[in-house]
Amino acid sequence: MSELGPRARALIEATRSADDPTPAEAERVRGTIQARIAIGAGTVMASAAVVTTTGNAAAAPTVVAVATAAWVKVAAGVVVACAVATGAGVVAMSSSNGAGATRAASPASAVASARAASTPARGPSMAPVPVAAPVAALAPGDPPAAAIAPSAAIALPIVPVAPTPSAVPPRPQAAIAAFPTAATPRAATPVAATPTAPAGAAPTPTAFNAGATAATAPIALDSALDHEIALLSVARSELREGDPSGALTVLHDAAQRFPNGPLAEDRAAETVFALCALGRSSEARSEAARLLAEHPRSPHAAAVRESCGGPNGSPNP
Amino acid sequence: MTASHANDRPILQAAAGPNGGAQLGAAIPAIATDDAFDRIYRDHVRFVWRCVRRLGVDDSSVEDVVQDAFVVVHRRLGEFEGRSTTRTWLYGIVRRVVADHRRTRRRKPLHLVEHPHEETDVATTGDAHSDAERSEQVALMRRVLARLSDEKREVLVLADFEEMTMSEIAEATDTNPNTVASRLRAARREFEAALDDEMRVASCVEAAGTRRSRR
Repeated sequence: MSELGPRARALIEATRSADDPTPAEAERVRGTIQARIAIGAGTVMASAAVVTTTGNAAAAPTVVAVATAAWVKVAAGVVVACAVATGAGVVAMSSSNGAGATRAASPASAVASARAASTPARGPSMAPVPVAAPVAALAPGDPPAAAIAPSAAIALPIVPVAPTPSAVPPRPQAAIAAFPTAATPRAATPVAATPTAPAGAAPTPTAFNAGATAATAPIALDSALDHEIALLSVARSELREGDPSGALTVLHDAAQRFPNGPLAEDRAAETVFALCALGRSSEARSEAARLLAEHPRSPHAAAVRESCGGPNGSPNP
Repeated sequence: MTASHANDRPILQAAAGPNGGAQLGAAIPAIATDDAFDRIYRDHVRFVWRCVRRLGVDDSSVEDVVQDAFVVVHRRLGEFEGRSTTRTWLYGIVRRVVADHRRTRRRKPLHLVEHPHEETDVATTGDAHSDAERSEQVALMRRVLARLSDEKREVLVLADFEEMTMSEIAEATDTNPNTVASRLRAARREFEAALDDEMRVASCVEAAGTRRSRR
């Protein structure tokens, strides 16, 4: 290997760390990333609840519940996410057990009920907490389909829930401030639960829970990457919930919006799994072959090979 | 990061496939991976930042691209299985996010991007003379790097600035090691040539300035 000459080496040596961020820059970006992660993680979590809700579309008279467009699901998920991340820092899982509870009514109580009905204590870090998050509905009364333009920034009202022992005091940038910092023992934070509205009480889908006292702040979901992540999350949830064709629709939609997005590889893997779940193994095989050819070292490679689309996979998933 | 990372993995993998996904979903990673993520951020933000800049992302977009890269990192934490070093794994993410950024912004190819000579965020030493000298060196480095093609710049930055091994670079860039080696040879030749050229230009400018001031 030819080496660089002394002058070039000296230049590199002298400027090696010139492109480092300043500590202030690194810290600022860290805060923003945490806020975005809070949104993204909550989106994943909440999308399950929303998918559940849509399953009861006829019974649940709410903006969110009647919405079936993926984007509306995403948006609804994010609303829930923010409420949870903001108020509690504890993520409780919804489960399909919550389906009945979603009939209760408003998005807020529907999601809260779904969560309350979920199996508690999933792991060592998951305290069995009933979570009832005051959730702001997206422009109640608006036609769901028109609620969100795909490329538009989504402004989300955030309502922190009632005080917790380690509650982070509200700061102007609510989303960032409320996201628990590394020093906060978030996993064990007990949540002051708002009693879930009883089924049948059917509160209207108002924008804010009356019990919420803290200030609200908008957070914008304006990054293409956030959208891409949200769509992938929805697809995964649908697949998990046993709706592979719904998942495929979302994956297809996402692939059209973000053909070269950084998550294209993840999407391709999910597509293989969804096709397998539908028994469309020849399509799964060609999708898998393409993925494996383009990304032989993909973290999904092993799972894809084992799926019905892979060389090792069984024809029946 | 290995210890807690190993703990995170089963949870995160649950989100990766349809089988595991049926149990928990992808909600938990936000909590489970926070420690691992914090550590990765703390240990590698400078590396990521440097790479983003040296891949030619313009100053106004650097923070956005770094953010995007780490959001993807967070998302994929559970898929990182220690087959590669953290840096090769991170770089694989960085280069894709950067490529995506370029595509969406329809940027000019990097070697056409002018780096402003005077705008450098160099830490000051308090010594005006050496600060000026350092700024000049940084500007020179950027100009020289900007003259390389994207592929060559990448391999030279990883090898000579970040001191990664050939096999690490091959893995990080998903490229055959032989290709990396020949690309690096060519990149170093070009770097030297571009440096020569820049120095010549600089000395001409200086000479012209001296002549002007004599008159």
